[in-house]
Amino acid sequence: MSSKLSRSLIGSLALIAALMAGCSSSHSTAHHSTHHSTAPAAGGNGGSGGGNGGGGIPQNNGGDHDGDNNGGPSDGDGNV
Amino acid sequence: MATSKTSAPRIFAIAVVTTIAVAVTAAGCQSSPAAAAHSGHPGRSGARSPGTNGGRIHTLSAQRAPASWHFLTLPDRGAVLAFPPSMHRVPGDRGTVSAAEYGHSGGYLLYLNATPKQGNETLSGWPEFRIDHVAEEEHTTPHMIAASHGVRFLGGMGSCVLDTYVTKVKANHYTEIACYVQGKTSSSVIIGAAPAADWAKASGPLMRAIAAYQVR
Repeated sequence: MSSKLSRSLIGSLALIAALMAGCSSSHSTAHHSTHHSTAPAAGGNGGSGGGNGGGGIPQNNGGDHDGDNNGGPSDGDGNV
Repeated sequence: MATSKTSAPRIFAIAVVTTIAVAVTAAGCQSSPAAAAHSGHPGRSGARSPGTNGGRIHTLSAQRAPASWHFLTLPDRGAVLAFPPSMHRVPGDRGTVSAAEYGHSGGYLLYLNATPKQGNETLSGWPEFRIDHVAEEEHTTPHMIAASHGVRFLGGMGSCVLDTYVTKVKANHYTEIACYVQGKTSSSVIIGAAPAADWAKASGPLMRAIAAYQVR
């Protein structure tokens, strides 16, 4: 292998290192969504209470009908 | 002409190596943590503290609410939720209390909720419990940003997690601080959440409200 070819290959390997470094630095970049958050359409009804079926809250206004079933923030319930 | 004969394989070799470099780099980027965060798999690998948002959770500590704030007591009287005057009480599950502030378009700006312990929450396992709960029962793509244990609250101690998720319904992207707090006679959860895009502005009053959370 000629010295010119060796230098060219070394240059290509340096390119690999540079590209990998650029990729790694992007891992710490914070991601922010531009989704628009909206309040629940129907609001709550004071909660139904109970409902500890253990199967999770049905979405699309299911479950206990509070905001977190309608695209609102999740509340602090532990199993309902 | 002898030179052109020897340069052909040389150029070919350089082209091959360069192509491999690009392919390897692209593959590496696809398997990055950022990509994994959007794959639907929750961040269960433990607490991280990237940037200032993650670091702020570690500064959380008990602080009494300003006199101008409002207060809501849980029906079981196990805790008192404090919230700023810009927020007002909103409906929620029975046995819980919630407060929110909405923007002009009707979207959430700030959200607070306090709920008595309902499941197998523990101080040591709270971050994973919360992430799993959000993932399995209510929303998709939760991602743990940071967690903190041994947080002092008024009347008790707690564990907190800072995470972000996208709701199944309407695909709303929220960031939240969720804390499990044990008092002398009761245990409960306090949630402070806001649209992820507004978190830089919302985290201040939400953290202030969580710091003012009083348990019994």
